[in-house]
Amino acid sequence: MDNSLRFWLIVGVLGVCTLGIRASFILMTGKLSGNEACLNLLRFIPVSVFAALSVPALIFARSGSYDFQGNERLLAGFVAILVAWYSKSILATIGSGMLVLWLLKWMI
Amino acid sequence: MNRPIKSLIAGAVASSPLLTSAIPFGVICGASCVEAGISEWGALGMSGIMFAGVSQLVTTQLLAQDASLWVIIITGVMINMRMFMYSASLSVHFEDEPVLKRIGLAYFLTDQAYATSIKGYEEGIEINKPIYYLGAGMLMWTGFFFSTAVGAYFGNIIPSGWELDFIVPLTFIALLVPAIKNWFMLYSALAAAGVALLAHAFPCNMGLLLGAITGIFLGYSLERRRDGQ
Repeated sequence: MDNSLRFWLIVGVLGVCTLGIRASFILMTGKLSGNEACLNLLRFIPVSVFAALSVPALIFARSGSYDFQGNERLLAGFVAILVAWYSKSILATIGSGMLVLWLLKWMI
Repeated sequence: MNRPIKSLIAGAVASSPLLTSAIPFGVICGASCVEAGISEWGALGMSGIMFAGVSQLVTTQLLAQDASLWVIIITGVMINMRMFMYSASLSVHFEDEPVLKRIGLAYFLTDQAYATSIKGYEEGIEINKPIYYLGAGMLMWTGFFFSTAVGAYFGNIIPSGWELDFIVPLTFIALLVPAIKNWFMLYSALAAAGVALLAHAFPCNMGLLLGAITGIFLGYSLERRRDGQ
């Protein structure tokens, strides 16, 4: 990267913004625990965020476009979901997903 | 409740399976940086200063594509907005800590540290909650940072045919599925995935946020209806 000042500026700004985001509620403790509606909302955060992060990556080749990337990742992802469902094991899920992906890639 | 060493270790141990994610992730981040023309120091700087793998990867791609400053920053912020939600979710467990300590704790907030901690708290185990989280966070940081170095200095050895970047969505699947504990959560996840798919091509990775927000509100609303409110 030629323009290294620009690079470090971007990294610095993103670093500060990200820390701010991370610290946001943690710094405001006490405001949320009494509020039952908030607590009920918060409980859906993990499943929503992880779903929104993982599913598109199984189908689309890269962000910002709708190009379908091929069946290997979709199938591997499907297997991983099944393995996760039955085993609840992180290692088994990641391992099986990668194994299926490699098998599909090198057998075709 | 106040057993720091035990809690720190417990958190680290509980999060250790996620090293299978953090380590390849770090290697990929390091290798991508160098491939895009960023120096090894730049790669380490990203992992140390930003410490947010998904946004690091996208930022690297955007830098390589010569995207404008604002697009890069806004996209990075959008991707990391989900940490807002993690922060809110964890804040109720960090009540008694002094401000500076909370900022320090916040630095380590990642998907893996969050998922480990929330799961531990829900299981109701007897630990010092912030320290448990810190144990997970520090282990993830260590794995991620050092593997960034490995990826930056030795990344060209790994054949790209291995598609190690698939570890990223696999990690989220591994965290998602066990977290679905009832029908509302399932609907929530499906809605989030659906909207994220439809909005995938929206600029600055907005689709991710739109999907997450949809899922959260849908799950919440359905649950309220069941409870007759």
